[in-house]
Amino acid sequence: MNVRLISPLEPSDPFLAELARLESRLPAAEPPWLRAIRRRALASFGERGFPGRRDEDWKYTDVSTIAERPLRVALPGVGPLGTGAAGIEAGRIDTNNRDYRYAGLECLELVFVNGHCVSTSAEMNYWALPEGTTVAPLAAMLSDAPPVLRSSIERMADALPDAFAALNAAFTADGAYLAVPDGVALDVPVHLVFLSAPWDEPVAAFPRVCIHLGEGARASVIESYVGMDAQENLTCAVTEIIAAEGARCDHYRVQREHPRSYHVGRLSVSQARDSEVTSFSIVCGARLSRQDIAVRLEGEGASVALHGLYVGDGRRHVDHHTRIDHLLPHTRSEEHYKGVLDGRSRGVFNGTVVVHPDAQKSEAHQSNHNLLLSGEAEIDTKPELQIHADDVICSHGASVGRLDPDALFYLCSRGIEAPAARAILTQAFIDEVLGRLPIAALRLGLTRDLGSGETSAELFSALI
Amino acid sequence: MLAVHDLEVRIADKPILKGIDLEVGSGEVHAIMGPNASGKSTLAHVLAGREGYEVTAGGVTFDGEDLLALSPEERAHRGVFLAFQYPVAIPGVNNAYFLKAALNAGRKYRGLAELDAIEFLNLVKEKLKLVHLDEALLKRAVNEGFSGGEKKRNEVFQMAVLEPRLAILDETDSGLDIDALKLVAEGVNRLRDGHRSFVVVTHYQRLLNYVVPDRVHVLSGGRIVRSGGRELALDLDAHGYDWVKVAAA
Repeated sequence: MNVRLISPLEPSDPFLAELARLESRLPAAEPPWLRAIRRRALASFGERGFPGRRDEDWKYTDVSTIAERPLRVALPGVGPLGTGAAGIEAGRIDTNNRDYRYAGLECLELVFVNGHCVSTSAEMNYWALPEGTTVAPLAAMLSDAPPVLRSSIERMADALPDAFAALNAAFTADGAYLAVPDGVALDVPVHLVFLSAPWDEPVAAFPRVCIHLGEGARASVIESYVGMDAQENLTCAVTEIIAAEGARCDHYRVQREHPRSYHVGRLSVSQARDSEVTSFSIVCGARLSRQDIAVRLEGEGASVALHGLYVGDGRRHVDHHTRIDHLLPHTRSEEHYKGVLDGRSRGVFNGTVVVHPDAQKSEAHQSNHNLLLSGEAEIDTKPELQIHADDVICSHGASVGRLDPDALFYLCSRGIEAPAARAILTQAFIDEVLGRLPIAALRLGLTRDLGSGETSAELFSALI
Repeated sequence: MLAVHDLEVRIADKPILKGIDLEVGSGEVHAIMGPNASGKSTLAHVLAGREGYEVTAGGVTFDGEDLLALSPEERAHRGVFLAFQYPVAIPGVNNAYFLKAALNAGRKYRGLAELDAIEFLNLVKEKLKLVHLDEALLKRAVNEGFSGGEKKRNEVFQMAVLEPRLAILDETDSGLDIDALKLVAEGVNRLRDGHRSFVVVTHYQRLLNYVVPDRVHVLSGGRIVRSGGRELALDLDAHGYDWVKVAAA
């Protein structure tokens, strides 16, 4: 292993003090290897620091507001809420809040407050999980981690892609671990609900999600990031999906944090031969949102589909960076992202696809379409195809447009008020992404919440 | 009901309408005929409130109210309906959803209770028969993938649902074969009830064989150069537009 030599942080470093504060609250049984990783990751962060505008990957996204404020890591079981579970019992956290529950969604549910698990659905205790399947809070798994989990955490710490991944590696103490053994299909989606809750000061949460699917295994995972109240919290989340040969994973990530909060999320996917991964990234929250998705198609016949929708208003900033590496022949990727930007919001989409020399007969398609609803909204869209093989099929397209004035006039000429007409056309633009969501409860819930507030066309259509 | 008085309209400084006078009474059917680029469609669009036209003189009243001061949706609420020459395809917007929103916006304006989905469907199923359209049309996106005939029949269907007081048909006959034309005409005729008024804009008198007008006006070079009864359309058909152009000169 090629580990870079990293000088340790000064003992007075505030991040190190923060780590000590966190560790004082963690179980004493936390294994030494994990403590070593935390220190190494923190040292790595200390060396690189927060990204600046000169970093090509962060050219359009200014994280100085995150960098300049003190970092306070949310600790398990402390704060004005008392323990999270007590907060829920005291009714301070409304777990029936439809902001994060989708009507009619049958699922296994884990609820986190500021990154720490506070409840698991009662069903999980007696749910007949298929044999060998694990669905558990990560904190419960770390003291005696299965070898695959440990090696996954170590591997990720050895190849930290950026400062936020380093911070997550240093400070993560909880999250979810989902392991499905060979040939097993988990029929019920797993819903991970990450609530960002008020504290006496803005806090940072560092959840980690590890999804490991064995050969031919199947699972669906929904991650919902929800802001509870006015709060400038930071969520810095990392999810890893490892799909073994022939595995299939459907992953949904819904980010609807409070409009004053900060959210940086990373999804890292490794796919073996003939595996299939579908990802949806729906972003409509946070003052500043950055989502990185990196997919490695490491086996022949592996395929991935990335779908995305980002909605910005006010002065919000929404950034998606995706990268797909086609490493072997007959790999396939498709990526369809759409954005709606209003007010003075700003969107960034950077979609990199690298077809490596060995990846002959591969196919990659990408599209990014944006709707600007105001004259002051902005989008920077950059498709980036790097093709190093000659027998491949690749396409990409990007567009930035406004609502069609002819369509608006048509709707208004029938008596529909102009704001409603704009909402109908915007909804139609959004529906193209939401319509692809295969889970009906999620599709209908998001359509209702992201739309004009009127009955969605689909709900209406269902009545006909 | 509709009074157009000395209306002058420009598009990007180019005069298109050069003083139009037109009175349409309750229950009347007026045909506006004329060669290409005579200003027929401009007149239809200005009445419906499309942007991009500059009214430089004259005005339009509808039941005594200044029509040109109203937004397109306000005109619709007062009962003005334009059947488009080129109905706009709107991908992703369900036809029934669109029409229910339109109908309820109008009902709300008139102080009537909004129709729920069931009441709406009972109403539209009735109206679909008028233009011989299939119920499947309701589930399709507005005009998307519609044939030329379906688009025009969809316009008449919308008219039937919204029940305007003044319907402006902008070349609703263009691009239709004779069977489709008859279907459209039948739909229009069944909406004639002695109160509803029509302005039928057309290049050919063919449609007027089926939708028989009370008055025919010939528009040429931005002016109405001749007005008359139904027989004027037949004369035009026999002699062509050069005949009126010469006559007007």
